[in-house]
Amino acid sequence: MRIRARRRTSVVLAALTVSAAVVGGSVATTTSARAAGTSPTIPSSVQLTSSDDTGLAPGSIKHVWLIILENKSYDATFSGLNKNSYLWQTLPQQGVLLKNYYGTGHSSQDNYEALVSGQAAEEDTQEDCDKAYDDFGANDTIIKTGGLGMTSNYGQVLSKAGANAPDGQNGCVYPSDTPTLFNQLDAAGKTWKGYAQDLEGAMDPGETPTTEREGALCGGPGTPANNPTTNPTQTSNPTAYPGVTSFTGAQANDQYVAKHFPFPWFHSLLDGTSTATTGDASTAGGATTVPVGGGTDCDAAHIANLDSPTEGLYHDLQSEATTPDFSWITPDNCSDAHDAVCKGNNLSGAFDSNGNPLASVGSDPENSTPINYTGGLYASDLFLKWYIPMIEQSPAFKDGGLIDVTFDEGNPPFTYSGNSFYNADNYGPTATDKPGAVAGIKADQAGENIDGKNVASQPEGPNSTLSTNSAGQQLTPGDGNNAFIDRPPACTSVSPPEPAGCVPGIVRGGSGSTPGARNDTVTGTDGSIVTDSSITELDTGRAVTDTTDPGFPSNVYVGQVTDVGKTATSPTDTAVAGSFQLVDGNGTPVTLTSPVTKITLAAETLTQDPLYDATDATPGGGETGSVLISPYIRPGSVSSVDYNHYSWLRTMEDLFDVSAGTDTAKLAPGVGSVSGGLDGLGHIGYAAQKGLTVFGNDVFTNPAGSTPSPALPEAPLAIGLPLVALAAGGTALTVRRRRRKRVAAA
Amino acid sequence: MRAGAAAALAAGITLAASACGASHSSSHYGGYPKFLPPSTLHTDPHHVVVATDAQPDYASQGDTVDVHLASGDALITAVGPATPGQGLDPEPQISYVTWTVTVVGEKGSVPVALRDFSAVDDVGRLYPMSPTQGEAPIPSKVTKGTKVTFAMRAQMPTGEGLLHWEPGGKLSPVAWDFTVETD
Repeated sequence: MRIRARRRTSVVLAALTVSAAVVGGSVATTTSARAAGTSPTIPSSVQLTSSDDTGLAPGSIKHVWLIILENKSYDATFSGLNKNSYLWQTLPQQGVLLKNYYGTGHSSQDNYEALVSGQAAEEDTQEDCDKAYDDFGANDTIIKTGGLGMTSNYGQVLSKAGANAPDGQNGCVYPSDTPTLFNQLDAAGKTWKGYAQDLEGAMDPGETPTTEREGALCGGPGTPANNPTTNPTQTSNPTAYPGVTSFTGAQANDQYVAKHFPFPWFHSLLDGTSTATTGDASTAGGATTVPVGGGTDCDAAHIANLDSPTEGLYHDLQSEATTPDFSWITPDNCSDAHDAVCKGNNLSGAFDSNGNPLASVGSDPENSTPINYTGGLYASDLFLKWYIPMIEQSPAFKDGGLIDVTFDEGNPPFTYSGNSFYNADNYGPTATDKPGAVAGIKADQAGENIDGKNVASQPEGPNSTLSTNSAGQQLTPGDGNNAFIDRPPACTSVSPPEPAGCVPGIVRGGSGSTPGARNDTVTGTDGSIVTDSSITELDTGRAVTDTTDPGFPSNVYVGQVTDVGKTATSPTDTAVAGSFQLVDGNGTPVTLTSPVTKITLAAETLTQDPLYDATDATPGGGETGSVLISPYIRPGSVSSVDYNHYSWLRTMEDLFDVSAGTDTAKLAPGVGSVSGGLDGLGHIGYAAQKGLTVFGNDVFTNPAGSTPSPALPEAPLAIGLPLVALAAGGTALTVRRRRRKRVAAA
Repeated sequence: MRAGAAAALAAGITLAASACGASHSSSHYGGYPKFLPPSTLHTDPHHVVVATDAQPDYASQGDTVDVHLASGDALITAVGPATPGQGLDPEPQISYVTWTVTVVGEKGSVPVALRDFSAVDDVGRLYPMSPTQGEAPIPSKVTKGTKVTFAMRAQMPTGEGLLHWEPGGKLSPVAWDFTVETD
């Protein structure tokens, strides 16, 4: 019912915006009818071809804060099952929920790079650069052929090792002719800053940062002596660096991870010099730019610890003049929902039992002693409850602000447990009633909106491609990297084929293997329930034997599996209490007659493996959902248009009008410029896809803005009138929506 | 990395001021904007949850769910579980509990069958549904404009649980949270 109401809203608003375009002349460059709701095809009679399709007047959005969280699928985040009511319920009621927002790949790091550059995944970034912090491609491997269609790789960086090369052979840091959104902001005279929680180590009281895990430029992994070109950090050997136990994972005194901070992964940001005085790339080389007024993109004015009293977020929010136009916020590996159990502070000690903050806004919440170590969406909710009210109280937010809470990827599928909680499954109780790979395939889905139509695909790029053999089996992993399914094994011998079921030439990417036998330590005394912290839904139907405990029944299987969230009381605790029902082959519960302590789950074959899939493609990063809050968004809005990171990048480029920037020098390989992008309209990488839809009037549902009224740009009366009409239309639509809701409720 | 931070900060402030303009520099920090709902916690008892195969949703008992399936759309409401003999001494630990389900067809055809409903308790035990005594047979489907109301029951212990609906034996697009209470 609600979806139908939204369709009507879109049509009426579209008509109003078209009216504005006709009457207002130049307004046509910023407003148009567009897709919305579940039937996003735009009627041809109202379809426009404007490059800037946000539906907002120029300059309306003055400040953006992007908070990026980690690895949760839509159903894990927005289903209420993971103790995250602030993100699930509160924030969507303040703004708009994008139900169909997709990551662009697996695993994490490729998503961050896609967001800021429009570059597609490649195997090293898909594996979070766990081998080395070194160079990827070169300026002369940027693809110059093709156009801007979905199947073209124009402007993408090709690995020197070629497509689908293994992890460690491609490199990670993009060459200097690869521009980022931040270069575009520099050239357009816009200010920005990257904030990272725990950058330079945890800020707990009395603790001196001892590690240089992120001592390289722009928060890159390694020491200040490391750089990706002449002295790459060997991220696969962290213990060779004093005080470092992991570069890609959190450690107790420092939960920052460079893989979730996009800045150190582009030479166009690393290579800046402070000698140039303008934002023109020609003075610094490649796509490198100089920030507004000088300095470099990696200096302390642009890369900061989130909680720094002198450079941090709260400090900068005190006035609109000190607030950057664009703020990128990376929580640490606990607060971003990544770790199920946190290595360090999860901010749980910063709130009372009613969820109210114990300290004043602006204080460092890590100046508290955690009362538990539960991570996941529980921890990210604590982070959001601390920092979003902080932003909302700033003068910059009230004057054209936009808060965007999003995720890098939908990882893992909710039903597979992982770092999601409370995932009692829907399967069982018979041995043959088992989960399939369908949830894994869904977690690798792609989605975006092209020319007003939702499409379940995205450009895959030149490096992690999708291809099949004559039998329809997927030979290469694509941007989804086979992240949550098991592919056939590669052949060690072709004639005869070994091992059984192997596929010659397959590149398995992140594919798992069909599980072998597994020994679990369990508890169970009577009844049919066995407590097993290792059990997941994917084990449903596996045969269970026990050669340790006398009296254990034979011919029994894993029935209904339940993983229930629990509070982790230490960094070595678990966040989930798992159990399963012991059943016979007919699904009938089997009662234990004596205690059980150890069991063995039988190995699976390809045909028994619930995750085995040889033919379905893994094109993307899965559906995550996203929430945005702004005076230009009517609280409680919902959009079902397909968006992804490329859509997001294009939206930011349009909101900040980067195409008006001064850096129009051609990049060396002849693939556009920093300010003009690939299409001359300011869009870089796959943000320049022809027809790619940006966040429009399904997102910015209150285009007139809310009080305090933002200052409208100076404009002739002819433009002002249709804007007033838009405001009136918005009011009428509100009434219509309320009436519709009452009907639905009745 | 912190070397020169103060100088850089000062520069940053200056730069930001030049980029953002001075028209709003007198605004003070503090207070929430008026457009944000004063209480953004959901309180509407008639909230309609939207659920699909692709986007399952989660509801509390009593919630109406707007379900969109490949075969059709329907509004479905599950009320319960009702427990007999509340307040008895001693309190029964296991009871026959009853749900009342209403399905209203909106579009196409939506399958309805008792076997598509099941409850799971907080340790994962599964409870199939049985018809209540004297209950008329349930239509196998609802179509646009038709409405069916029926009761079903299961023998369950007190405590937390989830009621799943798996229309046509497919994955559950929705689950209702409930508590069996006999006190």
